[in-house]
Amino acid sequence: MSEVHLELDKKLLLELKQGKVQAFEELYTRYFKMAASFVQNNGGSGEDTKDIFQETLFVLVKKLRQPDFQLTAKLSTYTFSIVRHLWLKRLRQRGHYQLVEQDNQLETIPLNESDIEVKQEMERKHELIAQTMAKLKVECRQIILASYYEKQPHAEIAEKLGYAVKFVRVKLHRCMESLRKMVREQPEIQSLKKS
Amino acid sequence: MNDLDYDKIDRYIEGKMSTEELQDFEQKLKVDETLSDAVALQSDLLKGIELFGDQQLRENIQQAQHNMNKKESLPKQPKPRRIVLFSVRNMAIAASFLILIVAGYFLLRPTDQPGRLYANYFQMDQPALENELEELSLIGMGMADRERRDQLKSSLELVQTEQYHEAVTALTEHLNIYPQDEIATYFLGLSLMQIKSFEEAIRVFAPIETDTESKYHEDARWFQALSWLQMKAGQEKAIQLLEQIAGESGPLSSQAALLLKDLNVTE
Repeated sequence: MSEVHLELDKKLLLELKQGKVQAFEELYTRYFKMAASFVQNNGGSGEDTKDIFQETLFVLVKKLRQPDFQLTAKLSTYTFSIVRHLWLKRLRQRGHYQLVEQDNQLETIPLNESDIEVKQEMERKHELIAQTMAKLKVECRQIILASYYEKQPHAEIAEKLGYAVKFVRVKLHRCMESLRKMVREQPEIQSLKKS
Repeated sequence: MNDLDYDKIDRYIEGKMSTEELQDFEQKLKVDETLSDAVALQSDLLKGIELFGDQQLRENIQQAQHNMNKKESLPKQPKPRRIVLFSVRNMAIAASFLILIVAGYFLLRPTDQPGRLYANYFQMDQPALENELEELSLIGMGMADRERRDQLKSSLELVQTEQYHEAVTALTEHLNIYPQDEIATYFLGLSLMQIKSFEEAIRVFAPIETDTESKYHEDARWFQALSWLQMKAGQEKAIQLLEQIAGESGPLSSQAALLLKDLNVTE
């Protein structure tokens, strides 16, 4: 691979980590046809390709954000590997549908009603917290996501948002306090917590 | 609660505390209700933040797909051109191309066509490698199995970092102790292919290729076929295996059919 290509991939990887729309567009341009060819040559439809490719990009970004993850293959090879893996997994699920269903039934039998309720309530609680996140001020959402979701170091966040590094810490603390306050003030979340 | 405490709470939730610090923190958790409430709330908040982040990420991906669909559906408006089919210039260009194509075909016709196909079709099974490594990182097995898992994990990490010679040595040693380990067998075969020991790879893949219960049964057959392609006079055997894969309508059948088609073209 040439130096120019390496530099382009490096920039692209950084933008992917940041979840930028234009970076996803670039991957669509580069690899969607390759994915379509594989999925459709292996019994999938156009809709399946779109689904699988969306999931591929999601998995790719989540992998790139793992602190100890290092991309050892070419980006094209790695992307194709995810496409292949996800599609083969889906084919297996389709091919063994009844078996999977039976397995799931077996797995769910030991769960009692209260276990299921607790699980559902936890999911509901996290959904409500996610909705509360959406109500925070933009700069608070940005700093919380950058720190806790994208796991960016404070120095990187400071550069991106134009803050001093020390201020990132203070701002993050304040924003988390706002989120805590808003969550505590929601009766539905509190009622879930007590259950 | 001050900022420092939340740093600690975060490190506790993320499992980043030292053993000593963890013991100390867990003691405090038992007696300090305010602290245990704060930990529970912070843990919920982090899960809510993760969910919100995932939703945003999916929205951005969908937005990109939407934008790409729009771009593709834009009507293409090529500039109007006057086309003269049989001008002397066009005939000369066409003749030059024809000469180049014919000369190219005879001069560059690859004698190593199966080798080229091999390069197009072979790639490390990275998703399986990552799955196995993730699975091996899970804690909670008995000590005897723990030893096997740790040894296998460090061998597979050599594959992941592309140290294939070292991986071959480590996986061979592992199989001397645990000869039935199909994961080690599968990745030993793949590592041998990476260092171009194809004959050895074929031999290594054999037990899982013939075991229809193995989760790597079809994959092993596929990689055996690719290895045969790299062997002198191995094409016939490769075709035989590929026809079996193509005929079984498994996940790799279309890929095998495609390679068969490519091989027939070159015959």
